[in-house]
Order: sequence, then C-alpha cells, then structure tokens
Amino acid sequence: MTDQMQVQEPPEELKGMVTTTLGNIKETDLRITVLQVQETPFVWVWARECHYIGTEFPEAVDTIVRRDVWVTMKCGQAAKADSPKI
Amino acid sequence: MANTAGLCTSFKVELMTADHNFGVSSATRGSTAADSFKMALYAPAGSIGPSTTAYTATNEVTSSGYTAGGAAVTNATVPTSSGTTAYWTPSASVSWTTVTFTTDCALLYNSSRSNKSVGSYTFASQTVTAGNFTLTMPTNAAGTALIQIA
Repeated sequence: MTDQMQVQEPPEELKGMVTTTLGNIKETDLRITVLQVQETPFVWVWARECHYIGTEFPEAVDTIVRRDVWVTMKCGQAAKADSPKI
Repeated sequence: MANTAGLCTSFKVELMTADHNFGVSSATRGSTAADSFKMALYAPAGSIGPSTTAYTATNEVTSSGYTAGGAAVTNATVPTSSGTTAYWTPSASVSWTTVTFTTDCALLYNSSRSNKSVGSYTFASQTVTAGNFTLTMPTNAAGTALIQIA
C-alpha cells in the first residue's frame, strides 16, 4: 500500500485543448494574456484572457472566448473595538 | 445601488449573543463542531454591504457551474489572536469552474445559523467567460485575516 494518488490523464484528444465559448479549442489557436486588473490595499485581481486567433470560426477572431479571474484578498475586514472611556 | 465592503452590523451584534461559532467548541452553545459558512457572489447591481443581515438570492450571479447560495467555505483553522487582535480566515480558496457571470462582491454567511451574514468583500467588477473564478484568502494573521476584531 502506498499513499500515492492515481493521477488520471486527460484523453489524448483533449491534451492541449482549452474550454471556451466556442467549445474545446487548441491552445495554439488562442492568444493568451494575463493581466493585473486591480490592486487596492484590500485586493489584487488578475485575469487571464484567451483571444481566438484560429481560422475555424472567422466571426470569433480577436474576441475573448474565455476569461478566468483570480481575486486575491490581501486584507479582510476589521471590527474595531475602542477602549472603554473612563 | 452598489455593493459595499464591510463586516455586517448584524454580525457584530450576533457576536455578543454567541450566534456564530467559527471554532470547534463553544461552551455557550454546547456545540463541538464549527458552524458551516458559505460564500455567495453578487452582480454589480446588488446592494450587499454592512447592512445586509442574511444571505439573499437577489442579484446573486447565475451560471451553469454556479449553484444558488454559493460555495462552502473550508474552515480548518480555529480563530486565534495576536496582541489585541482576534482573527479568522477560511483555510482554502473558494472557486467556481467553467462559469460565465459578472460580479464585484462576495458575501460570507453562516449557513448553519439561518444564513446570517458575516461580511461583504468587494472588488472591481469582473466578467468571467467560460472560465474559472477563484477567491484566494488573505494571510491568516492580525492585520490581514478575513475577519479581524481589533
């Protein structure tokens, strides 16, 4: 017995594919950009945008067909309890 | 209306009535298990904020891959303190896979206690398109934790 997990490989036909609004698209048909879209004292927000650059869907060329977002909380919220006044 | 950030005023009152249990034991409530907490996401048209008293489905995002009420929060770290600050943070990120919506606010609420609200957290409006949305938690320390009582 080992504690090693069995890692399931994706089907061969899905390797290098990305799920988008157009279905599963080859990564080579996408221009992928990662950008920081917000930074405040409370959050960082990052987005990964996939623009279609393939030839199968000409109407979708240069449009965003997938967008992932990461919101990283830098700091939560505080309830401040002031010292009692004497 | 707009969503705004802050600990809910009702939550501050409920702290005084032992309504919420983030830890694993509560002498007052006689419980040996922490309550369950969830995070729900809201569209920019929402009015979630410090005056919110409980989870609401009004203006909550909708999408395949997103269930109304949001997602469970992993709570494996009990509340603690440093100096004069008590604090608590969920122990894992909250994420949704293959979703399409626009959101600018997350509401943390206690699903074990009538969905009473805890706090709202805002960010610039973000559109997710056939992708993943991940809310990564802050460092669990005084000054950064998701909930702090300073």
